[in-house]
Amino acid sequence: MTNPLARSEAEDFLFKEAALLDAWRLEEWANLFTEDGEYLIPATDAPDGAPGTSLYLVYDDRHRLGERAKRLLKKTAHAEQPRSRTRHMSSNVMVAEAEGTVTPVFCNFVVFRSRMEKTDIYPGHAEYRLVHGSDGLRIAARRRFSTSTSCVPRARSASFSEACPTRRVRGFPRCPRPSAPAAGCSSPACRPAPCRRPGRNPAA
Amino acid sequence: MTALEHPSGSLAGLIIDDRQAARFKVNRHVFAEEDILALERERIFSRCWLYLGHVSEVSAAGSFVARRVGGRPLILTRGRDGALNALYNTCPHRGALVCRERAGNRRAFQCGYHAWAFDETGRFLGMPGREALPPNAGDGGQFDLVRVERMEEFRGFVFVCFDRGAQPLVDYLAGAAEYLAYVADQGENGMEIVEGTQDYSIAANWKLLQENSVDGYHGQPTHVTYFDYLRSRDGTTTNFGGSGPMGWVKNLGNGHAVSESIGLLPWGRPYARWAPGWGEEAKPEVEELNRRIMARLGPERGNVVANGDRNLIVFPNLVVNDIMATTVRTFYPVRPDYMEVSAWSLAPVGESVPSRDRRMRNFVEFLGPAGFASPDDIEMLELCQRGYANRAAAPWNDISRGMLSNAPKKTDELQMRTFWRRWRQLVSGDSSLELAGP
Repeated sequence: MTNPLARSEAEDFLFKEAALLDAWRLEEWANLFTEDGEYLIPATDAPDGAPGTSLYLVYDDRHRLGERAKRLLKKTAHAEQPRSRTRHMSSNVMVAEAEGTVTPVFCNFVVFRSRMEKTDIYPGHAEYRLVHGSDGLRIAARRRFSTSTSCVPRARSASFSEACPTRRVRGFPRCPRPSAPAAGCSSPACRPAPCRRPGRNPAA
Repeated sequence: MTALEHPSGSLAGLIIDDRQAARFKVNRHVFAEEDILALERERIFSRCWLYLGHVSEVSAAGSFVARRVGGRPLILTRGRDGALNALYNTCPHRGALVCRERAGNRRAFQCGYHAWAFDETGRFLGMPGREALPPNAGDGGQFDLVRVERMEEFRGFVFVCFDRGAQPLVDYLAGAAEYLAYVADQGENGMEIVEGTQDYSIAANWKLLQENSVDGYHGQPTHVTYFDYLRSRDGTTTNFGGSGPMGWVKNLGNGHAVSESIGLLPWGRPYARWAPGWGEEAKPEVEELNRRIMARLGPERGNVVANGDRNLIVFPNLVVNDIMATTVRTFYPVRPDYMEVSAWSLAPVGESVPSRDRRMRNFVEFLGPAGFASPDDIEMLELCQRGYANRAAAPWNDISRGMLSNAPKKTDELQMRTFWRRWRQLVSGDSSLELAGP
């Protein structure tokens, strides 16, 4: 079954997500995910690795990402006291062909984060798997990739949104190529999706 | 201000080790000054054994990893003869890096500049226009990649040392060897580094991370939100993580130390201590893994390997935390107030898919730049570093906990004093300074 999602709808959704994060409405952000939703960030040197067999930076099931949101709202979450000010920018949005009820959406992002007199910039790209819920779009999987080829600067910033890159950014976002399914991995994020970037996947 | 101009008057005076008064102080100068970092580069990072990698990262002939160790770009390769090679990653011709990838497998390294080529053992293979040089120009290996002065392996952990006259690795490791062996004994078919590196940086002095890695005293105040998470996940109201007298700490010699307990901590160990958050379905496998370790190693050693949690520091900058997962972590100063960290996950070879998955989930629930605990550690280290801007008025860190105790606990500070006594001995060059002590 196809369930066409317009790019403008996907963009509205990504902008809403960014607004929730920037406003520190983290529990509402967590509620954008489906009951079995996942949030993943692979290591900078193994972006194609599967989460159960490769070391990640974030490997959250729905419970853990909800707890991540709760944790970061506590005064005892020292890494975010005082809280960062952030701006999440999402662009270059591409909507792939739906796979049953799931629509893969790709985008680039930049996150600006300022805290305690320092500002860090985290570029990357993301793969979302969106589904239509009774109350609008929901996230079945959110996988964010750092563009960094090496070191995550002042790394705690990763604690609520985007782990990532560095002052020595040299790479460019790759075509959002889904990982091969890992043996035994049942994660929705491990299911392949065709890439819709022009010229990359002529069969799609 | 240099160390010798400092009011303490000498390098050794940067640390106060007053055993009568049970008072141990470290001058904050050591975290903030360029002169100290220059001495550390000369007297620590150029003389101590430093962790390069794990044998599993270069298991196949021709495989290699390239990384910086002590500021030096190196390549670790597995030769077609099966032997390991530690090479300086610099062309003998003009000095360019001959390897630009972090890892891979190849039969030759070729410099991109003038196309000189080398085999995986560093031996010169050829160059364009060889006839322009005298026939004997490459004699004595002058065209080969330079080999690192010393490289030795212990139970899969590969170390290098830039001091040709250094003592053998196993002597250097002293009591830390026993603890690396406990970690290595987890896998009945050996251990391997899992794909993926957590690379991150911290705006703090490198020594603060070595201290933090064995500091049990900060657990409760710094990581309260992590323990909240465990309570939520495991559906229990147990108050774990209190700063009660859990476990013990030991001086392992040569500046190495361990903070250790057996079976007391609230998290699960994939090998092999079940936790409620994994669900009942995981229990039979975890219990079976535990039984197999006991059968293979005997009840005494098996209990230490399977049920023990240990935070090991190997001087100067290797951490092996064998806790809810096993992390191998090393880090280097870029500046006095800035370090770069690399951390890996070490796991038994042949681990089942569900067990490996539990391990990888467990690792990032606590550890790393987006874990539920490491970011708060990083924050504390950075706050310390900022505080050292006041070092002229407030010059001393206090590391005296447990100096009067005959049985120091994890929440004491013997493990840090062990590090600092070795640090002081090496940086001051005064080998008569005592490494043992309360």
